[in-house]
Amino acid sequence: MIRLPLVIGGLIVLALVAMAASAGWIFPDDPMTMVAEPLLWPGQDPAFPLGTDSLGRDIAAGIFHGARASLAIGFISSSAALALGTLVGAVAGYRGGRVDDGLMRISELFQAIPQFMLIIVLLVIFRPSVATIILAISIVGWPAIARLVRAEFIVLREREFVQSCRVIGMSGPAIMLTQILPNALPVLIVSGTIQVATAILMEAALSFLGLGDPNLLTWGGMIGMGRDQLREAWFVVAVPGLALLITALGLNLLGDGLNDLLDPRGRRA
Amino acid sequence: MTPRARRIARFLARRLAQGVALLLCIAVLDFALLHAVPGDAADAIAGEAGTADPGYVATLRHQLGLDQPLPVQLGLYLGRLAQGNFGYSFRYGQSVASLILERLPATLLLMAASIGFAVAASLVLGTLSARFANRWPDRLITLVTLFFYATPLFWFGLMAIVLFGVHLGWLPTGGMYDVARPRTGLAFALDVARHLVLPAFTQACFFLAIYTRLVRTSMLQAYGSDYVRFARAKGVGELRIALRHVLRNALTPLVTMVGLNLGTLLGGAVLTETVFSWPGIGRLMYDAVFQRDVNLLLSILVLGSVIVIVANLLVDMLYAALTPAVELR
Repeated sequence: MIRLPLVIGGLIVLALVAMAASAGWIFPDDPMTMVAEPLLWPGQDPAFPLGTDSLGRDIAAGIFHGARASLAIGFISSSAALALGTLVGAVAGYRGGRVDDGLMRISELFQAIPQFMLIIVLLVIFRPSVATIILAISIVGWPAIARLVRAEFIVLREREFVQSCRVIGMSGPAIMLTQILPNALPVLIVSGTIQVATAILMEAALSFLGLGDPNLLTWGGMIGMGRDQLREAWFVVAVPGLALLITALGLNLLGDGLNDLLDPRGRRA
Repeated sequence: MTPRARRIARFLARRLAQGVALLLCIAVLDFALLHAVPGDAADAIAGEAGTADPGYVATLRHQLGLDQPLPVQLGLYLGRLAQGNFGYSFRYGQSVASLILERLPATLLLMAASIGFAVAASLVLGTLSARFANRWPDRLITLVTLFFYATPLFWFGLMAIVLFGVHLGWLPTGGMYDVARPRTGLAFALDVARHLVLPAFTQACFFLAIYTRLVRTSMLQAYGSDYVRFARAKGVGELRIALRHVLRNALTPLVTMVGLNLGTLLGGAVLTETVFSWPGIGRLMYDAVFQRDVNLLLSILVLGSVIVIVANLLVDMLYAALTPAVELR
Protein backbone atom coordinates (compact mmCIF):
# COMPACT_ATOMS: atom_id res chain seq x y z
CA MET A 1 0.00 0.00 0.00
CA ILE A 2 1.37 3.40 -0.99
CA ARG A 3 1.37 5.98 1.76
CA LEU A 4 1.36 9.11 -0.37
CA PRO A 5 1.25 11.84 2.33
CA LEU A 6 4.07 10.17 4.23
CA VAL A 7 6.24 9.89 1.10
CA ILE A 8 5.62 13.46 -0.10
CA GLY A 9 6.00 14.94 3.38
CA GLY A 10 9.14 12.92 4.04
CA LEU A 11 10.70 13.95 0.71
CA ILE A 12 9.96 17.65 1.34
CA VAL A 13 11.49 17.52 4.82
CA LEU A 14 14.53 15.60 3.50
CA ALA A 15 15.00 18.20 0.75
CA LEU A 16 14.85 20.97 3.35
CA VAL A 17 17.43 19.31 5.54
CA ALA A 18 19.66 18.87 2.48
CA MET A 19 19.22 22.57 1.62
CA ALA A 20 20.07 23.62 5.15
CA ALA A 21 23.10 21.35 5.25
CA SER A 22 24.47 22.44 1.88
CA ALA A 23 23.75 26.16 2.27
CA GLY A 24 27.31 27.02 3.32
CA TRP A 25 28.73 24.90 0.51
CA ILE A 26 26.55 26.03 -2.42
CA PHE A 27 26.38 29.66 -1.27
CA PRO A 28 29.62 30.15 0.68
CA ASP A 29 29.30 33.96 0.79
CA ASP A 30 27.33 35.83 3.44
CA PRO A 31 23.74 35.92 2.11
CA MET A 32 23.37 39.41 3.59
CA THR A 33 25.88 41.00 1.18
CA MET A 34 25.04 42.72 -2.10
CA VAL A 35 26.05 40.63 -5.10
CA ALA A 36 24.15 41.99 -8.10
CA GLU A 37 21.95 44.85 -9.21
CA PRO A 38 18.82 45.15 -7.10
CA LEU A 39 15.39 43.70 -8.01
CA LEU A 40 16.46 41.32 -10.78
CA TRP A 41 13.43 39.21 -11.72
CA PRO A 42 13.74 35.43 -11.44
CA GLY A 43 15.24 34.07 -14.66
CA GLN A 44 16.48 37.48 -15.81
CA ASP A 45 20.06 36.58 -14.94
CA PRO A 46 20.91 32.85 -14.95
CA ALA A 47 23.43 33.43 -12.16
CA PHE A 48 20.56 34.42 -9.86
CA PRO A 49 17.74 32.00 -10.70
CA LEU A 50 15.37 33.38 -8.03
CA GLY A 51 16.28 37.03 -8.59
CA THR A 52 17.63 39.63 -6.18
CA ASP A 53 15.99 41.81 -3.56
CA SER A 54 15.98 45.61 -3.18
CA LEU A 55 19.53 45.54 -1.71
CA GLY A 56 20.87 43.35 -4.53
CA ARG A 57 21.10 40.23 -2.39
CA ASP A 58 20.73 36.79 -3.97
CA ILE A 59 17.26 35.46 -3.05
CA ALA A 60 18.29 31.84 -3.72
CA ALA A 61 21.13 32.19 -1.20
CA GLY A 62 18.64 33.67 1.26
CA ILE A 63 16.29 30.71 0.77
CA PHE A 64 19.07 28.18 1.43
CA HIS A 65 20.48 29.99 4.46
CA GLY A 66 16.95 30.76 5.67
CA ALA A 67 16.14 27.03 5.62
CA ARG A 68 18.92 26.60 8.15
CA ALA A 69 17.51 29.25 10.50
CA SER A 70 13.91 28.07 10.15
CA LEU A 71 14.67 24.39 10.72
CA ALA A 72 17.01 25.06 13.64
CA ILE A 73 14.60 27.39 15.45
CA GLY A 74 11.60 25.18 14.68
CA PHE A 75 13.34 21.99 15.75
CA ILE A 76 14.98 23.29 18.95
CA SER A 77 11.91 25.16 20.22
CA SER A 78 9.66 22.17 19.49
CA SER A 79 12.04 19.80 21.26
CA ALA A 80 12.02 22.06 24.32
CA ALA A 81 8.23 22.36 24.28
CA LEU A 82 7.93 18.60 23.77
CA ALA A 83 10.29 17.79 26.65
CA LEU A 84 8.60 20.11 29.14
CA GLY A 85 5.09 19.25 27.94
CA THR A 86 5.80 15.51 28.20
CA LEU A 87 7.26 15.81 31.69
CA VAL A 88 4.39 17.87 33.10
CA GLY A 89 1.69 16.00 31.17
CA ALA A 90 3.04 12.60 32.23
CA VAL A 91 3.17 13.46 35.93
CA ALA A 92 -0.23 15.16 35.82
CA GLY A 93 -1.88 12.28 33.98
CA TYR A 94 -0.30 9.52 36.03
CA ARG A 95 -0.53 11.07 39.49
CA GLY A 96 -3.66 13.23 39.13
CA GLY A 97 -4.53 15.39 42.14
CA ARG A 98 -2.83 18.72 42.75
CA VAL A 99 -0.28 18.52 39.91
CA ASP A 100 -3.11 17.78 37.54
CA ASP A 101 -5.26 20.67 38.79
CA GLY A 102 -2.27 23.01 38.53
CA LEU A 103 -1.56 21.93 34.96
CA MET A 104 -5.15 22.38 33.88
CA ARG A 105 -5.28 25.89 35.36
CA ILE A 106 -2.03 26.86 33.61
CA SER A 107 -3.20 25.56 30.27
CA GLU A 108 -6.49 27.45 30.69
CA LEU A 109 -4.43 30.57 31.34
CA PHE A 110 -2.49 30.02 28.14
CA GLN A 111 -5.74 29.57 26.23
CA ALA A 112 -7.12 32.88 27.47
CA ILE A 113 -3.98 34.90 26.71
CA PRO A 114 -3.58 35.61 22.99
CA GLN A 115 -0.36 33.61 22.64
CA PHE A 116 1.13 35.51 19.74
CA MET A 117 0.61 38.78 21.63
CA LEU A 118 2.37 37.28 24.67
CA ILE A 119 5.36 36.29 22.52
CA ILE A 120 5.53 39.80 21.08
CA VAL A 121 5.53 41.34 24.58
CA LEU A 122 8.19 38.88 25.79
CA LEU A 123 10.44 39.66 22.83
CA VAL A 124 10.09 43.42 23.23
CA ILE A 125 10.98 43.16 26.93
CA PHE A 126 13.83 40.64 26.58
CA ARG A 127 15.08 41.78 23.11
CA PRO A 128 14.83 39.44 20.11
CA SER A 129 17.68 36.98 19.64
CA VAL A 130 17.78 33.32 18.57
CA ALA A 131 17.74 32.26 22.24
CA THR A 132 14.83 34.47 23.33
CA ILE A 133 12.79 33.59 20.23
CA ILE A 134 13.24 29.86 20.87
CA LEU A 135 12.38 30.33 24.54
CA ALA A 136 9.27 32.42 23.84
CA ILE A 137 7.92 29.96 21.24
CA SER A 138 8.47 26.97 23.53
CA ILE A 139 6.87 28.76 26.52
CA VAL A 140 3.56 29.11 24.66
CA GLY A 141 3.89 25.71 22.96
CA TRP A 142 4.27 23.31 25.90
CA PRO A 143 0.80 23.49 27.55
CA ALA A 144 -0.98 22.06 24.49
CA ILE A 145 1.46 19.14 24.38
CA ALA A 146 1.11 18.61 28.14
CA ARG A 147 -2.68 18.32 27.74
CA LEU A 148 -2.26 15.74 25.00
CA VAL A 149 0.25 13.64 26.97
CA ARG A 150 -1.93 13.90 30.08
CA ALA A 151 -4.94 12.53 28.22
CA GLU A 152 -2.84 9.66 26.90
CA PHE A 153 -1.40 8.82 30.34
CA ILE A 154 -4.85 8.89 31.98
CA VAL A 155 -6.04 6.20 29.56
CA LEU A 156 -2.87 4.11 29.71
CA ARG A 157 -2.45 4.10 33.49
CA GLU A 158 -5.65 2.02 33.84
CA ARG A 159 -4.51 -0.65 31.40
CA GLU A 160 -3.73 -4.14 32.66
CA PHE A 161 -0.03 -4.17 31.80
CA VAL A 162 0.49 -1.03 33.87
CA GLN A 163 -1.48 -2.38 36.80
CA SER A 164 0.47 -5.63 36.77
CA CYS A 165 3.70 -3.60 36.93
CA ARG A 166 2.31 -1.85 39.99
CA VAL A 167 1.46 -5.20 41.55
CA ILE A 168 5.03 -6.51 41.18
CA GLY A 169 6.25 -3.36 42.97
CA MET A 170 7.67 -1.28 40.14
CA SER A 171 8.17 2.39 41.09
CA GLY A 172 6.04 5.19 39.59
CA PRO A 173 8.84 6.85 37.58
CA ALA A 174 9.98 3.47 36.24
CA ILE A 175 6.44 2.60 35.11
CA MET A 176 5.99 6.01 33.47
CA LEU A 177 9.33 5.84 31.67
CA THR A 178 9.56 2.20 30.61
CA GLN A 179 5.90 1.15 30.31
CA ILE A 180 3.64 4.09 29.51
CA LEU A 181 5.93 6.46 27.62
CA PRO A 182 6.78 4.00 24.80
CA ASN A 183 3.04 3.52 24.25
CA ALA A 184 2.48 7.27 24.16
CA LEU A 185 5.31 7.81 21.63
CA PRO A 186 3.12 7.81 18.49
CA VAL A 187 1.12 10.75 19.85
CA LEU A 188 4.34 12.55 20.78
CA ILE A 189 6.00 12.04 17.40
CA VAL A 190 2.95 13.23 15.49
CA SER A 191 2.30 16.31 17.63
CA GLY A 192 6.02 17.09 17.68
CA THR A 193 6.12 17.14 13.87
CA ILE A 194 3.11 19.47 13.67
CA GLN A 195 4.64 21.64 16.41
CA VAL A 196 7.79 22.13 14.28
CA ALA A 197 5.59 23.52 11.48
CA THR A 198 3.76 25.80 13.91
CA ALA A 199 7.04 27.06 15.38
CA ILE A 200 8.51 27.78 11.93
CA LEU A 201 5.42 29.75 10.90
CA MET A 202 5.50 31.61 14.22
CA GLU A 203 9.17 32.56 13.86
CA ALA A 204 8.48 33.75 10.31
CA ALA A 205 5.61 35.92 11.54
CA LEU A 206 7.83 37.42 14.24
CA SER A 207 10.63 38.16 11.76
CA PHE A 208 8.05 39.69 9.43
CA LEU A 209 7.01 42.08 12.20
CA GLY A 210 10.66 43.02 12.77
CA LEU A 211 11.03 40.90 15.90
CA GLY A 212 13.48 38.38 14.45
CA ASP A 213 17.15 38.04 15.37
CA PRO A 214 18.76 41.05 13.63
CA ASN A 215 21.88 39.01 12.76
CA LEU A 216 20.00 36.21 11.06
CA LEU A 217 18.58 36.02 7.55
CA THR A 218 15.15 34.35 7.75
CA TRP A 219 12.30 33.76 5.31
CA GLY A 220 9.95 35.87 7.41
CA GLY A 221 12.49 38.69 7.50
CA MET A 222 12.87 38.51 3.69
CA ILE A 223 9.08 38.87 3.33
CA GLY A 224 9.08 41.83 5.71
CA MET A 225 11.89 43.52 3.75
CA GLY A 226 10.21 42.89 0.40
CA ARG A 227 6.91 44.36 1.52
CA ASP A 228 7.97 47.88 0.56
CA GLN A 229 8.34 46.88 -3.11
CA LEU A 230 5.29 44.64 -3.13
CA ARG A 231 3.67 46.45 -6.06
CA GLU A 232 6.64 46.48 -8.44
CA ALA A 233 8.54 43.35 -7.36
CA TRP A 234 6.17 40.91 -5.72
CA PHE A 235 8.51 37.94 -6.33
CA VAL A 236 10.73 39.17 -3.46
CA VAL A 237 7.80 38.39 -1.14
CA ALA A 238 6.39 35.43 -3.08
CA VAL A 239 9.53 33.26 -3.13
CA PRO A 240 10.28 33.05 0.63
CA GLY A 241 6.55 32.71 1.33
CA LEU A 242 6.36 29.72 -1.01
CA ALA A 243 9.34 28.23 0.82
CA LEU A 244 7.43 28.63 4.11
CA LEU A 245 4.25 27.17 2.63
CA ILE A 246 6.05 24.12 1.21
CA THR A 247 7.89 23.59 4.51
CA ALA A 248 4.73 23.77 6.62
CA LEU A 249 2.89 21.57 4.10
CA GLY A 250 5.68 18.98 4.16
CA LEU A 251 5.77 18.82 7.95
CA ASN A 252 1.99 18.55 8.19
CA LEU A 253 1.87 15.80 5.56
CA LEU A 254 4.64 14.00 7.41
CA GLY A 255 2.68 14.35 10.67
CA ASP A 256 -0.54 13.06 9.05
CA GLY A 257 1.36 10.22 7.39
CA LEU A 258 3.04 9.21 10.65
CA ASN A 259 -0.34 9.35 12.35
CA ASP A 260 -1.76 6.82 9.87
CA LEU A 261 1.35 4.68 10.08
CA LEU A 262 1.58 4.63 13.88
CA ASP A 263 -2.12 4.27 14.57
CA PRO A 264 -2.82 0.58 14.03
CA ARG A 265 -6.29 0.80 15.54
CA GLY A 266 -7.34 3.34 12.90
CA ARG A 267 -8.99 5.63 15.41
CA ARG A 268 -9.26 8.53 13.05
CA ALA A 269 -12.42 9.09 11.06
CA MET B 1 -37.12 28.41 37.41
CA THR B 2 -37.19 25.14 35.52
CA PRO B 3 -34.49 22.58 36.39
CA ARG B 4 -32.90 23.19 32.99
CA ALA B 5 -32.73 26.94 33.51
CA ARG B 6 -31.25 26.40 36.97
CA ARG B 7 -28.64 24.07 35.59
CA ILE B 8 -27.71 26.53 32.85
CA ALA B 9 -27.52 29.40 35.35
CA ARG B 10 -25.22 27.37 37.61
CA PHE B 11 -23.02 26.42 34.64
CA LEU B 12 -22.70 30.04 33.48
CA ALA B 13 -22.05 31.31 37.02
CA ARG B 14 -19.18 28.85 37.40
CA ARG B 15 -17.74 29.89 34.04
CA LEU B 16 -17.98 33.54 35.07
CA ALA B 17 -16.10 32.84 38.33
CA GLN B 18 -13.41 30.97 36.36
CA GLY B 19 -13.10 33.90 33.99
CA VAL B 20 -12.58 36.36 36.84
CA ALA B 21 -9.95 34.10 38.43
CA LEU B 22 -8.13 33.81 35.08
CA LEU B 23 -8.18 37.56 34.68
CA LEU B 24 -6.60 38.00 38.10
CA CYS B 25 -3.79 35.57 37.17
CA ILE B 26 -3.19 37.44 33.93
CA ALA B 27 -3.01 40.76 35.77
CA VAL B 28 -0.41 39.33 38.17
CA LEU B 29 1.60 37.95 35.24
CA ASP B 30 1.36 41.37 33.65
CA PHE B 31 2.69 42.99 36.81
CA ALA B 32 5.62 40.57 36.88
CA LEU B 33 6.47 41.33 33.24
CA LEU B 34 6.27 45.05 33.89
CA HIS B 35 8.86 44.57 36.63
CA ALA B 36 11.13 42.56 34.34
CA VAL B 37 11.72 45.67 32.25
CA PRO B 38 14.94 47.51 33.15
CA GLY B 39 14.04 50.78 34.90
CA ASP B 40 10.63 51.39 36.42
CA ALA B 41 7.47 53.12 35.27
CA ALA B 42 8.68 56.48 36.63
CA ASP B 43 11.82 56.32 34.46
CA ALA B 44 9.71 55.33 31.48
CA ILE B 45 7.20 58.13 31.94
CA ALA B 46 9.94 60.69 32.55
CA GLY B 47 11.74 59.41 29.47
CA GLU B 48 8.60 59.67 27.34
CA ALA B 49 7.85 63.13 28.70
CA GLY B 50 11.42 64.07 27.77
CA THR B 51 12.81 64.99 31.18
CA ALA B 52 15.37 63.33 33.42
CA ASP B 53 14.94 65.72 36.37
CA PRO B 54 15.62 63.59 39.50
CA GLY B 55 13.12 65.58 41.58
CA TYR B 56 10.35 64.98 39.04
CA VAL B 57 11.19 61.27 38.82
CA ALA B 58 11.15 60.96 42.63
CA THR B 59 7.74 62.69 42.83
CA LEU B 60 6.40 60.45 40.09
CA ARG B 61 7.76 57.39 41.87
CA HIS B 62 5.95 58.41 45.02
CA GLN B 63 2.74 59.22 43.15
CA LEU B 64 2.78 55.83 41.43
CA GLY B 65 3.54 54.11 44.74
CA LEU B 66 6.83 52.73 43.38
CA ASP B 67 8.57 53.42 46.72
CA GLN B 68 6.23 50.93 48.43
CA PRO B 69 7.02 47.24 49.03
CA LEU B 70 6.18 44.90 46.10
CA PRO B 71 2.96 43.33 47.49
CA VAL B 72 1.56 46.82 48.14
CA GLN B 73 2.55 47.83 44.61
CA LEU B 74 0.78 44.77 43.24
CA GLY B 75 -2.35 45.73 45.19
CA LEU B 76 -2.20 49.30 43.86
CA TYR B 77 -1.66 47.99 40.33
CA LEU B 78 -4.63 45.62 40.50
CA GLY B 79 -6.75 48.43 41.96
CA ARG B 80 -5.83 50.71 39.06
CA LEU B 81 -6.59 48.00 36.50
CA ALA B 82 -9.97 47.32 38.13
CA GLN B 83 -10.83 50.99 37.63
CA GLY B 84 -9.81 50.73 33.99
CA ASN B 85 -6.76 52.92 34.54
CA PHE B 86 -4.00 51.62 32.26
CA GLY B 87 -1.82 54.70 32.45
CA TYR B 88 -1.16 57.52 30.02
CA SER B 89 0.58 57.39 26.65
CA PHE B 90 2.62 60.53 26.05
CA ARG B 91 3.29 59.56 22.48
CA TYR B 92 -0.41 59.54 21.61
CA GLY B 93 -1.33 62.24 24.13
CA GLN B 94 -4.23 60.30 25.61
CA SER B 95 -4.93 57.64 28.21
CA VAL B 96 -4.07 54.08 27.19
CA ALA B 97 -7.62 52.94 27.98
CA SER B 98 -9.22 55.43 25.59
CA LEU B 99 -6.53 54.73 22.98
CA ILE B 100 -7.39 51.02 23.02
CA LEU B 101 -11.17 51.51 23.25
CA GLU B 102 -11.02 53.73 20.16
CA ARG B 103 -9.40 50.91 18.17
CA LEU B 104 -11.48 48.10 19.62
CA PRO B 105 -14.56 48.28 17.31
CA ALA B 106 -12.38 47.77 14.21
CA THR B 107 -10.81 44.64 15.70
CA LEU B 108 -14.14 43.25 16.90
CA LEU B 109 -15.64 43.81 13.44
CA LEU B 110 -12.72 42.00 11.81
CA MET B 111 -12.94 39.11 14.29
CA ALA B 112 -16.71 38.75 13.92
CA ALA B 113 -16.49 38.82 10.13
CA SER B 114 -13.70 36.26 9.96
CA ILE B 115 -15.30 33.88 12.50
CA GLY B 116 -18.66 34.22 10.74
CA PHE B 117 -17.10 33.48 7.36
CA ALA B 118 -14.96 30.59 8.64
CA VAL B 119 -17.94 28.95 10.40
CA ALA B 120 -20.38 29.39 7.50
CA ALA B 121 -17.92 28.21 4.85
CA SER B 122 -16.71 25.27 6.95
CA LEU B 123 -20.30 24.09 7.48
CA VAL B 124 -20.85 24.05 3.72
CA LEU B 125 -17.46 22.52 2.85
CA GLY B 126 -17.49 20.06 5.76
CA THR B 127 -21.00 18.86 4.86
CA LEU B 128 -20.03 18.43 1.20
CA SER B 129 -16.90 16.57 2.27
CA ALA B 130 -18.89 14.21 4.50
CA ARG B 131 -21.60 13.57 1.90
CA PHE B 132 -19.02 12.71 -0.75
CA ALA B 133 -16.56 11.03 1.62
CA ASN B 134 -13.50 9.64 -0.21
CA ARG B 135 -14.85 10.74 -3.59
CA TRP B 136 -13.39 13.62 -5.61
CA PRO B 137 -15.24 16.57 -3.97
CA ASP B 138 -13.99 15.33 -0.59
CA ARG B 139 -10.43 14.94 -1.88
CA LEU B 140 -10.46 18.40 -3.45
CA ILE B 141 -11.74 20.03 -0.26
CA THR B 142 -9.17 18.14 1.82
CA LEU B 143 -6.40 19.37 -0.46
CA VAL B 144 -7.58 22.99 -0.24
CA THR B 145 -7.84 22.87 3.55
CA LEU B 146 -4.37 21.34 3.75
CA PHE B 147 -2.99 24.36 1.86
CA PHE B 148 -4.96 26.86 3.93
CA TYR B 149 -3.67 25.23 7.10
CA ALA B 150 -0.03 25.49 6.02
CA THR B 151 -0.07 28.98 4.48
CA PRO B 152 1.51 31.76 6.54
CA LEU B 153 -1.35 34.19 7.18
CA PHE B 154 0.62 37.40 6.59
CA TRP B 155 2.02 36.10 3.31
CA PHE B 156 -1.42 35.06 2.11
CA GLY B 157 -2.58 38.62 2.85
CA LEU B 158 0.29 40.17 0.90
CA MET B 159 -0.33 37.90 -2.09
CA ALA B 160 -4.05 38.75 -1.95
CA ILE B 161 -3.10 42.43 -2.13
CA VAL B 162 -0.94 41.77 -5.21
CA LEU B 163 -3.64 39.77 -6.97
CA PHE B 164 -6.92 41.47 -6.04
CA GLY B 165 -5.66 44.95 -5.28
CA VAL B 166 -2.83 45.62 -7.70
CA HIS B 167 -3.39 43.36 -10.71
CA LEU B 168 -7.17 42.97 -10.80
CA GLY B 169 -8.00 46.18 -8.95
CA TRP B 170 -11.21 44.69 -7.55
CA LEU B 171 -10.83 45.52 -3.88
CA PRO B 172 -9.18 48.14 -1.67
CA THR B 173 -5.98 46.87 -0.04
CA GLY B 174 -5.57 49.00 3.05
CA GLY B 175 -7.44 50.93 5.72
CA MET B 176 -11.03 50.57 6.84
CA TYR B 177 -12.73 53.13 4.60
CA ASP B 178 -11.93 55.53 1.77
CA VAL B 179 -10.27 58.47 3.52
CA ALA B 180 -10.16 60.59 0.37
CA ARG B 181 -13.92 60.33 -0.19
CA PRO B 182 -15.61 59.93 3.19
CA ARG B 183 -19.17 58.63 2.90
CA THR B 184 -22.12 58.52 5.25
CA GLY B 185 -24.93 56.11 6.04
CA LEU B 186 -25.40 53.06 3.86
CA ALA B 187 -22.66 54.11 1.44
CA PHE B 188 -20.20 54.20 4.36
CA ALA B 189 -21.25 50.73 5.52
CA LEU B 190 -20.76 49.37 1.99
CA ASP B 191 -17.36 51.05 1.78
CA VAL B 192 -16.28 49.46 5.09
CA ALA B 193 -17.60 46.09 3.88
CA ARG B 194 -15.50 46.36 0.71
CA HIS B 195 -12.42 47.13 2.78
CA LEU B 196 -13.26 44.24 5.10
CA VAL B 197 -13.31 41.49 2.45
CA LEU B 198 -9.58 40.82 2.04
CA PRO B 199 -8.55 41.12 5.74
CA ALA B 200 -11.47 38.97 6.92
CA PHE B 201 -10.79 36.29 4.30
CA THR B 202 -7.06 36.27 5.10
CA GLN B 203 -7.76 35.99 8.81
CA ALA B 204 -10.34 33.24 8.28
CA CYS B 205 -8.33 30.84 6.06
CA PHE B 206 -6.45 28.99 8.78
CA PHE B 207 -9.56 28.52 10.90
CA LEU B 208 -11.63 27.56 7.87
CA ALA B 209 -9.21 24.66 7.38
CA ILE B 210 -9.50 23.45 10.98
CA TYR B 211 -13.27 23.83 11.14
CA THR B 212 -13.91 22.08 7.83
CA ARG B 213 -12.02 18.99 9.01
CA LEU B 214 -13.92 19.08 12.30
CA VAL B 215 -17.33 19.42 10.64
CA ARG B 216 -16.50 16.59 8.22
CA THR B 217 -15.53 14.26 11.07
CA SER B 218 -18.54 15.01 13.26
CA MET B 219 -20.94 14.84 10.29
CA LEU B 220 -19.60 11.40 9.38
CA GLN B 221 -19.99 10.27 12.96
CA ALA B 222 -23.53 11.64 13.20
CA TYR B 223 -24.66 10.05 9.91
CA GLY B 224 -23.31 6.70 11.08
CA SER B 225 -25.04 6.89 14.46
CA ASP B 226 -27.98 4.88 15.73
CA TYR B 227 -30.23 7.88 16.32
CA VAL B 228 -30.01 8.93 12.67
CA ARG B 229 -30.72 5.36 11.55
CA PHE B 230 -33.67 5.31 13.96
CA ALA B 231 -34.98 8.66 12.70
CA ARG B 232 -34.79 7.35 9.14
CA ALA B 233 -36.64 4.20 10.15
CA LYS B 234 -39.35 6.37 11.70
CA GLY B 235 -39.72 8.08 8.30
CA VAL B 236 -38.26 11.47 9.23
CA GLY B 237 -37.36 13.46 6.10
CA GLU B 238 -33.73 13.83 4.98
CA LEU B 239 -33.74 17.63 5.37
CA ARG B 240 -35.11 17.42 8.90
CA ILE B 241 -32.52 14.78 9.77
CA ALA B 242 -29.75 16.96 8.39
CA LEU B 243 -30.86 20.10 10.26
CA ARG B 244 -32.33 18.73 13.45
CA HIS B 245 -30.13 15.71 14.19
CA VAL B 246 -26.86 15.87 12.26
CA LEU B 247 -26.13 19.60 12.10
CA ARG B 248 -27.01 20.18 15.73
CA ASN B 249 -24.61 17.49 16.86
CA ALA B 250 -21.91 18.70 14.52
CA LEU B 251 -22.27 22.24 15.82
CA THR B 252 -21.33 21.46 19.41
CA PRO B 253 -17.66 20.54 18.77
CA LEU B 254 -17.45 23.46 16.32
CA VAL B 255 -18.63 25.91 18.97
CA THR B 256 -16.12 24.49 21.47
CA MET B 257 -13.32 24.82 18.91
CA VAL B 258 -14.22 28.42 18.08
CA GLY B 259 -13.99 29.22 21.80
CA LEU B 260 -10.58 27.55 22.06
CA ASN B 261 -9.28 29.43 19.00
CA LEU B 262 -10.25 32.94 20.05
CA GLY B 263 -6.82 33.73 21.50
CA THR B 264 -5.09 32.52 18.35
CA LEU B 265 -7.51 34.55 16.26
CA LEU B 266 -6.76 37.73 18.19
CA GLY B 267 -3.01 37.07 17.94
CA GLY B 268 -3.42 36.65 14.18
CA ALA B 269 -5.15 40.04 14.10
CA VAL B 270 -1.76 41.65 14.80
CA LEU B 271 -0.52 40.26 11.48
CA THR B 272 -3.69 40.83 9.46
CA GLU B 273 -4.12 44.39 10.68
CA THR B 274 -0.45 45.13 10.00
CA VAL B 275 -0.67 43.81 6.44
CA PHE B 276 -3.92 45.64 5.63
CA SER B 277 -3.36 48.80 7.76
CA TRP B 278 -6.62 47.94 9.54
CA PRO B 279 -6.98 50.50 12.37
CA GLY B 280 -7.56 48.03 15.25
CA ILE B 281 -5.67 47.01 18.38
CA GLY B 282 -3.45 44.61 16.40
CA ARG B 283 -2.11 47.46 14.32
CA LEU B 284 -1.75 49.53 17.52
CA MET B 285 0.33 46.69 18.96
CA TYR B 286 2.59 46.70 15.89
CA ASP B 287 3.16 50.44 16.33
CA ALA B 288 3.83 49.95 20.05
CA VAL B 289 6.51 47.35 19.20
CA PHE B 290 8.38 49.94 17.17
CA GLN B 291 8.13 52.52 19.92
CA ARG B 292 9.06 49.91 22.56
CA ASP B 293 6.05 51.11 24.56
CA VAL B 294 5.93 48.23 27.05
CA ASN B 295 3.05 49.65 29.08
CA LEU B 296 0.87 49.97 25.99
CA LEU B 297 1.86 46.45 24.87
CA LEU B 298 0.99 44.93 28.24
CA SER B 299 -2.31 46.83 28.36
CA ILE B 300 -3.23 45.43 24.93
CA LEU B 301 -2.28 41.96 26.16
CA VAL B 302 -4.55 42.32 29.23
CA LEU B 303 -7.44 43.71 27.20
CA GLY B 304 -6.90 41.03 24.57
CA SER B 305 -7.28 38.42 27.30
CA VAL B 306 -10.43 40.17 28.53
CA ILE B 307 -11.87 39.96 25.01
CA VAL B 308 -11.07 36.25 24.82
CA ILE B 309 -12.60 35.56 28.25
CA VAL B 310 -15.77 37.59 27.56
CA ALA B 311 -16.15 36.04 24.11
CA ASN B 312 -15.72 32.63 25.69
CA LEU B 313 -18.61 33.40 28.03
CA LEU B 314 -20.73 34.13 24.96
CA VAL B 315 -19.56 30.85 23.45
CA ASP B 316 -20.52 29.10 26.70
CA MET B 317 -24.04 30.53 26.44
CA LEU B 318 -24.31 29.24 22.89
CA TYR B 319 -22.98 25.90 24.05
CA ALA B 320 -25.54 25.82 26.88
CA ALA B 321 -28.30 26.43 24.34
CA LEU B 322 -27.08 23.63 22.05
CA THR B 323 -26.24 20.95 24.62
CA PRO B 324 -28.68 18.83 26.63
CA ALA B 325 -28.72 20.22 30.18
CA VAL B 326 -27.41 17.01 31.76
CA GLU B 327 -24.15 17.37 29.88
CA LEU B 328 -23.40 20.87 31.19
CA ARG B 329 -20.54 20.64 33.61
